[in-house]
Amino acid sequence: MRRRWADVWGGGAILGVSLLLLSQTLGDQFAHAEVARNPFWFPRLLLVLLTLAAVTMIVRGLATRQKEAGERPLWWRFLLVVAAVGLYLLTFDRAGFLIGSILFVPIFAALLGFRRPILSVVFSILFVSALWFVFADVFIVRPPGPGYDSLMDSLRGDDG
Amino acid sequence: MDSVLAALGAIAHPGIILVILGGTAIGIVVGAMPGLGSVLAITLALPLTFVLGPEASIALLLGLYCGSVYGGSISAILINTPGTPQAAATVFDGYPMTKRGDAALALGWATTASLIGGLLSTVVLIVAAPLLARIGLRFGPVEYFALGLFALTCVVSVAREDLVKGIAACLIGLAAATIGQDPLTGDLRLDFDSFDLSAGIGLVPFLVGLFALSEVFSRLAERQGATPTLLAQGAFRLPPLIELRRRAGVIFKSGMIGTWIGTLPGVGATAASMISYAEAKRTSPNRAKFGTGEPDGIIASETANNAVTSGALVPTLSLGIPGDPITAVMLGALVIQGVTPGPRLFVENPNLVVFIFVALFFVNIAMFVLGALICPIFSRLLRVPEPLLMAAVVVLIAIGTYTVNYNPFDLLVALCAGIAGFLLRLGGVPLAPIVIGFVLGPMIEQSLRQGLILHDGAFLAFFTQPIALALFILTAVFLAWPLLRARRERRQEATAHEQQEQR
Repeated sequence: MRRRWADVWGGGAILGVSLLLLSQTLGDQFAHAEVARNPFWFPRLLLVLLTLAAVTMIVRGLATRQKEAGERPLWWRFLLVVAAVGLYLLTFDRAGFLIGSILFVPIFAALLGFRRPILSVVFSILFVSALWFVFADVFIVRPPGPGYDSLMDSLRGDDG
Repeated sequence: MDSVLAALGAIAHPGIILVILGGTAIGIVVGAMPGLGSVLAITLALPLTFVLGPEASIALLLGLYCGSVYGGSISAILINTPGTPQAAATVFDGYPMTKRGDAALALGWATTASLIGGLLSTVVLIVAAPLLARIGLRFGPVEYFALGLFALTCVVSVAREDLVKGIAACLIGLAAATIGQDPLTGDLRLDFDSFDLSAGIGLVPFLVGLFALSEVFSRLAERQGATPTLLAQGAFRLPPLIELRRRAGVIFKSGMIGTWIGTLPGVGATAASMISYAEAKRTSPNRAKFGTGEPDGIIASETANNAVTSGALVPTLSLGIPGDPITAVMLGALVIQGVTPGPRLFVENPNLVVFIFVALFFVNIAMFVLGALICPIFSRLLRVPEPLLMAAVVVLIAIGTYTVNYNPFDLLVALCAGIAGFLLRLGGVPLAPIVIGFVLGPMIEQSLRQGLILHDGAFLAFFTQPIALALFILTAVFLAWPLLRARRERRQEATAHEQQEQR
């Protein structure tokens, strides 16, 4: 029999976020305003309830036992995926959609153990180009960064 | 009649036809991919609704919704893995049919049952939604607050295994919705003096991160990847008409179960298909063959889960209360289009309401035709390597989220919501109440505070309104029910344990 550690950690994380947000609602200039006109009243009510729920999760996790531990994820793989996706998303507007995405797909697939580089590069180019066409030409919503038009211009040495 | 003709005219537009066909086809494909599901299909398409008009957006979302619910049956039948949770009960008899070489007929039954379920519930939607909207017109802030609270309670009480986690999830969604400007006074709150947070958390990055990105993280962090075994190519054969007539009772009953469950907030298509399957197993003349490849099992599950699609739209359209995460996202998409679902929609925009009704008929027919035409392709699509599929989903998430506001901060929100969603899934916290809380949060807060202002701060006055009082009583019953059930189960367990010890 094991303690329900997932509940303890989960409750702890929720408690931390809840208290952080709750600290933002205290000592406001609307302290003397009537309840309905105080912008901090409703969030404060929610966060107090959330804090109570988190504490209940922690206490229950410590007090009760379960027969089997749930299946644990591969943390290294999760962190690897988060790092790759995070890097891609946070550099998305600077690297541009075309270049960033065409590079991202095969690298991401390779990180996940996909060992057919030619297939993943071809898939990446076709998929990303199709998306570019759909967004830029069908929906007239231009994704960030240089498109095929400006890439071709730079290849031809045309700066204008 | 004019509205119907106008709706038919709008649907006859080539652009709308294309959107219906495209949305339904993509929905079927996404639904057939195990683990992707209806919510992912809808959330990924949400950013596209910014560039489409209201009719096209609605047609796209309806196509994705119905298509993805149906699509789940394909992988359930072909590879013994339901593409969506809604198709879990289809596995019981669908895969045994495949094993004995009847995959084509099983797909035919699933497709036909889905069509009939969808059409039956659309008829109920057309009859019930305007009636409910008429009642909704009498609603003031107090009634809306009571209704919002009731919807949240329904969603929470469905988190059967853990009420505390359900409540916590709901509160997380409600609290996240309060970040940014106060809807009544315009004051900033919980913004940590950040300019980006002062506008609040965007619906698109929040939902896309919470559902789609966390799904990517969850699938890739799993210890064992699913390696489906494909027994048959996905050919397609329609069931004989005489067989269809013989099983009409099961079809009708399952359709009604699905529609009824669909109208209840929070219960959803998975429960509908399971209940319908259990009911068919109890009453069908072929009940002895259930679990061995009996078409009645497929019919019960598929008719019910597709009947939920229109059923769930009854409270969404008539009262503005979404029944599940999918309709919550659809509600958000409608709001983005400047269309606010609720009783006023039927008065102010009747043409759009009729368009939705008519579009649902066409979407269901498109689903049937596309399902029949392209079923054989699915067996190939199911073999797309997971790393490539997941990379493609991330690219879709990025472009879809970024192009809504051209704001890199939205991508950061999606990433954080994705990580939070992954950790919450891991801790067994359900995500559906978060979404419903996030979508309903502003309405609940606004109506509560307006009600308090109207009644000079006296909350007890809320209980003097008959409709609100009825909803509060229902809320209390829904909250108490899981607790009472758990207590009864504990007592039964204890009694059984005692009896065992005495022996």
